[in-house]
Amino acid sequence: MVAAGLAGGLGPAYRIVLLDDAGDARFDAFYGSVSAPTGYDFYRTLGLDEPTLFLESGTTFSYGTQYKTWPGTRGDWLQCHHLPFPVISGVPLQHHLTQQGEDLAPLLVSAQAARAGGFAHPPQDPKSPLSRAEYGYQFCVEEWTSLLHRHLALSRVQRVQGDLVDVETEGADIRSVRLSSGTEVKGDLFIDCTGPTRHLILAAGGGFEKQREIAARRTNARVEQLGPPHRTVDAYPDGWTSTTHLSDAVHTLSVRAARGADDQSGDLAIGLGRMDQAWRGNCVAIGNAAAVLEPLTVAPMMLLQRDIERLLALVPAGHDHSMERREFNRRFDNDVTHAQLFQSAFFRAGELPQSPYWQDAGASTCSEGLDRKIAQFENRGLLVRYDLEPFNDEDWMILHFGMGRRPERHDRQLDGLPVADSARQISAIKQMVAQMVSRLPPHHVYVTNLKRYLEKQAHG
Amino acid sequence: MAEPRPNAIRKIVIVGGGSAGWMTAAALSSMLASRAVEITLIESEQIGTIGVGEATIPDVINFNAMLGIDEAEFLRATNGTFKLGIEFVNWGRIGDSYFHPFGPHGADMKGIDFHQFWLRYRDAHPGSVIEDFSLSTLAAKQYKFTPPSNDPRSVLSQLRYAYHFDATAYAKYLRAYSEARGARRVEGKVVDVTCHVETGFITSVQLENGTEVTGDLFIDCTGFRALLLEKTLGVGFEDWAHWLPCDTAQTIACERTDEIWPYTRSTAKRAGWQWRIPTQHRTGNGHIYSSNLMSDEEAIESLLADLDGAPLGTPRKIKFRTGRRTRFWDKNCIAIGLSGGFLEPLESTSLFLIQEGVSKLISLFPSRDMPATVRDEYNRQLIKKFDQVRDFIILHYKATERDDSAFWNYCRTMEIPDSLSQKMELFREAGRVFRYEDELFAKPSWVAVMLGQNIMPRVVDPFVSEIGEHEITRSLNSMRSAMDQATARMPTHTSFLSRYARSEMAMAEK
Repeated sequence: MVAAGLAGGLGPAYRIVLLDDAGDARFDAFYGSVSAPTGYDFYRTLGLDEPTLFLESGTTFSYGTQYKTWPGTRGDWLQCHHLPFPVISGVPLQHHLTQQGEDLAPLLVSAQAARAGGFAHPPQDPKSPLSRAEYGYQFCVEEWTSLLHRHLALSRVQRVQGDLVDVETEGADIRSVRLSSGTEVKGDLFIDCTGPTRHLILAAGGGFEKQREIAARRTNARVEQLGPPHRTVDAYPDGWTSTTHLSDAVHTLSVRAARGADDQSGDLAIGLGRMDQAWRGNCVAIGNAAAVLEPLTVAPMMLLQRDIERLLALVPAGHDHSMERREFNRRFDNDVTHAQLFQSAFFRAGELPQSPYWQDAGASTCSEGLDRKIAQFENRGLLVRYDLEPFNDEDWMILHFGMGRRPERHDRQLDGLPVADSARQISAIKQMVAQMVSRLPPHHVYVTNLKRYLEKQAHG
Repeated sequence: MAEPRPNAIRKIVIVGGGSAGWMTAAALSSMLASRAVEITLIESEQIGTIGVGEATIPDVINFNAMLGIDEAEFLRATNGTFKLGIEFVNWGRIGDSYFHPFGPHGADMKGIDFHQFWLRYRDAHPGSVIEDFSLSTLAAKQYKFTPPSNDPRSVLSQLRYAYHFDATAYAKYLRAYSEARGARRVEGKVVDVTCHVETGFITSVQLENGTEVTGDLFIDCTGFRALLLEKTLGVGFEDWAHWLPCDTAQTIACERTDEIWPYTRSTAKRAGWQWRIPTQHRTGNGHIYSSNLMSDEEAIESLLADLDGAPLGTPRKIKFRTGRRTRFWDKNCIAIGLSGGFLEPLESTSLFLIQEGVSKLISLFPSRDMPATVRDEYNRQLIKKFDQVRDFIILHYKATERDDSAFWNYCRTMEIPDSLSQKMELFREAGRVFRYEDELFAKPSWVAVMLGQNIMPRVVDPFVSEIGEHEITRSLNSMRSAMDQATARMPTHTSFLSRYARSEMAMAEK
C-alpha cells in the first residue's frame, strides 16, 4: 500500500524500491478482515476501487461487527458504521433516548439492515433513512495484497526479491540493506513494513513497547451462499472468534492469550503494543511494524491507513528529516493512543472471565482519557472527543449503548421541550428504519447483481 | 406533587453585565425554561464595561443563530457592518501589508492544499501574492460585499464573513432579548460575597443597598476584577506577558469614512499595534502597546495621528493583563469573559471566547452539587481553547523581521511555546500545515499569516513538485478569473448595508 501511494504521487525524480520478501506476510492476518468507511477513498487512490475489489476478489460489504456474548454486557450489539445522528430540537439524540428510556439500536439503519442480512448502497437523497448508513468491507488480506502486486506491476516501482540479511546503520540513520541474493540497496528514506519483526526500525534504534501477547488461528471454509453484510465476533472464556463473510468463503480467526515458548499449537503469536517512535533517523515504520492492535475492531486497518496518509503528507523534501519526523511521531502517538482507547473500552465491562486472555486485556485498560470518556457519558451523556480521533462520536455512542452504558441524566435543554415531541420523533425514526430495512435485498442477491452489472460495464 | 429533580439548579446569578454577562444571560434564557430556572443578572451603572471586541469572527453568526436573532435587525440595532477579514500592515516588515481572509485561498486540488500549488505558481509569477486567490480579500479590497452562496458549485460559496458592531449596543440588544425571556436584571454593586462554611460554595452576594441575592450557580462576568473567582475563591492566573508584552490600550472613535470598509485593519507600531474597526455610524480605533516601552502620551499621540476621521471624544485608557485562569470553573462559580482570561483583540477572538465559555456551560450544564467530572471537563476544554488561540496570536509577533525598536527586537527573539514553534518550522520546511481538531483557526488562517509575515517554505511538497508548471498556471489563472468576475458583480459594502440593514444612527448622519 505504501509503494502504491508513493508511486501515485511522487514523480520520476524519486526512485521507489520495494523489497518484496523483507517481511513475513503471515502476520498480515493481524490487520483483520474488516475495514472502515473512511478507507473507501483511500483504497481507491491505491488502485483498489470498488469494482476492482468486487470483480477481482471475494470482498463483500460490511455494515460493522456484531459482538455476541461479550462479557459484562446485556447481550449482543452491532457496532455499525453510521453518519452523524440527528439533533432533535437542538438537543443531541442521546439525551432524548435517556429521557425516554429508549435504546439506540432500533434507530441505527445500518445495524438493523445488518441484522436483517440486507444491503444496498446508501442513496444520496437525505430523505431516505438509508442515506445515514455507512459501510466498509469484509475482505481477505492476501487477496488485497495480490491485487496490489498486480497494480504495482504496472507502475514504476522497482521490485527486488531476496530475504533481508543485514542493515547497515550510521547512528539512527540507515545507509543500506543487504539481501540474501547479495544485493545491496541504498536509500535516503527507508520504510519498514516488515511487520512484527521490525527489521529496520529496530536497527535504527527504536524500541517496541509491548503490552501483552496474543495468538491467533485462521480457518477458511467455502460456502455456496454469501452471508450477512457484517462480521461476527463471539466471545469465549479464553478469547474470541471472528467470522467474516466473503463472496464464496467464510473466514474465521480465533484469538486467545499466547502461551509463550511452551505453545506447541502452531498458532501465530504476536505482541500487542507500539513503537516508542514510529520514525527514527531516516526510517519510518508503517502498520504492524509501528503498532499492533488486536483485530477486534477496524482499528488495525484504520491505523495502517493513517500511517500511510501521514507519511504521504510528510514525505521529506530534503535530507534533514527532523521536522517531518517530529510531526509524524506526534500524530502517530495521538492516533495509536486514541485507537487503543476505543479498543480498551471493550474491556471495561464489569467482571471479566478469569482466563489469561481476559485478565491480560482487562489489566491493560488503565487510561485517564478512557476514564474521562466513560465518566462523562455515564454522568450526562457527553461524548468527550480528543484531537482527530480515528473513531468518531457515533462509534463511541454505539459502543457505549451496545455495552449497556446509559447516561444518568439528560441535557437540561430538554426540560423546556414537550416530552411527547421527543417520543414522537424517536418513534418516527424507528418506524422509517424498520420500513426501509424490510425493503432491502439480501446481501448475497445484491452482491451477485452488482457483480453482474460491473462485469457488463467492464465489457462495454 | 414531588419535585421532579431535587438536585437541579433553580437559581443562576450572573454578576456583571457587558458583552459577557448579557451573552451568557441570553443563551441561558433561550435554552432553559424560565419556570424551572431563575436567571438574575446584577450590574451597576457605576461600573463601566470594557467594550473590546467590536470586531468578530464568523462563529458569532452561529451564536446569533442559536438565539434565533434576525441578522438585519441585529445589524440595525448595533450599527453593525460586515467583515471579510483583517488587513495587517507593517507586521512582517515596515511597508508590508497582507490580508487574513475569512474563507479559503483558491481550491485544493488532488487532495493537496492550494497554497502548495500557489508556491509553485509564484516561482513563475514572482509578483503574485496568495490573497489574489481569496475571494474574501478581492471583495474586501474593493469595498464590496455580498452574502455567500449555499451552492458549493458557485465561487461565492467561498465567502465567509463576520461582523463589526458596537459592543455596548450589542449588550443592550441582548439585555432586551434576555429580559423578554424571563431573565431579571438587578441594578446594584456587589460589596460582599458569602460562601458556605463547609463546601466553600458561594451562597449569596450582597449589594450596596443591602439586598442579598442567593443562587445555586454564580457566573463571574466582573471583567478584569474577577470578583468571584479570584477575589473570593482565590483561583490563580497564568500570566502570558512574556509572550504577549502589550498591557495597555488607548481607545477612541472617529468619524466614519464615506465607504465603509468590510474589513478590520491592524497596523503594527513601534511598541504595539493599532486597530481600525468600521461600524455604520463611526470608526472604532485603539492603540495597544507595552507600557514598559511606550508612555501613555506617546501612545495617544500616535493613535490620534493615524485616525482617518475627526476624533469623537477623548482617548480612554484600558489596562489589561494577558493570560487565563488556571481554572475557569471552581466550586459553583464560572468565570466567563475577561474574568476568565484575556487575549488582545488582534484576531477578534474576545467575543468568541465568551461564546465558547457559554456554549460549553450549556453542553455541560451541571446539577446543584457541581460534579467534579463536569467541572474538570469544562476546564479542560476552555484551557485548550485559550491556549490554541494564544499560539495563533503569538505567531503575529514572533514571525517578524522588524528590528526598529526594543519591542520588536524582543518579540522577534523571544522563546515561544513548543506547540507554535513546531508549526512554524513545519511550514518553513515545506509549507506544511496540520490543523488540530477543534482548533479555531483553520489552515488558510495559518497560511495567510505565515506567508503574509514572510515565512517562505524552503521547498514545496514533493507531490506538487512533480506537476507541470503549465497545468498549475492554467488552473490558478482560471480560479482567479472566476473570482474577478464574481467580485465585479458584487455591490459595494456600503450600498448593500444601506439596503439590507441601515441603522437609525447611520440614517440620522446622512
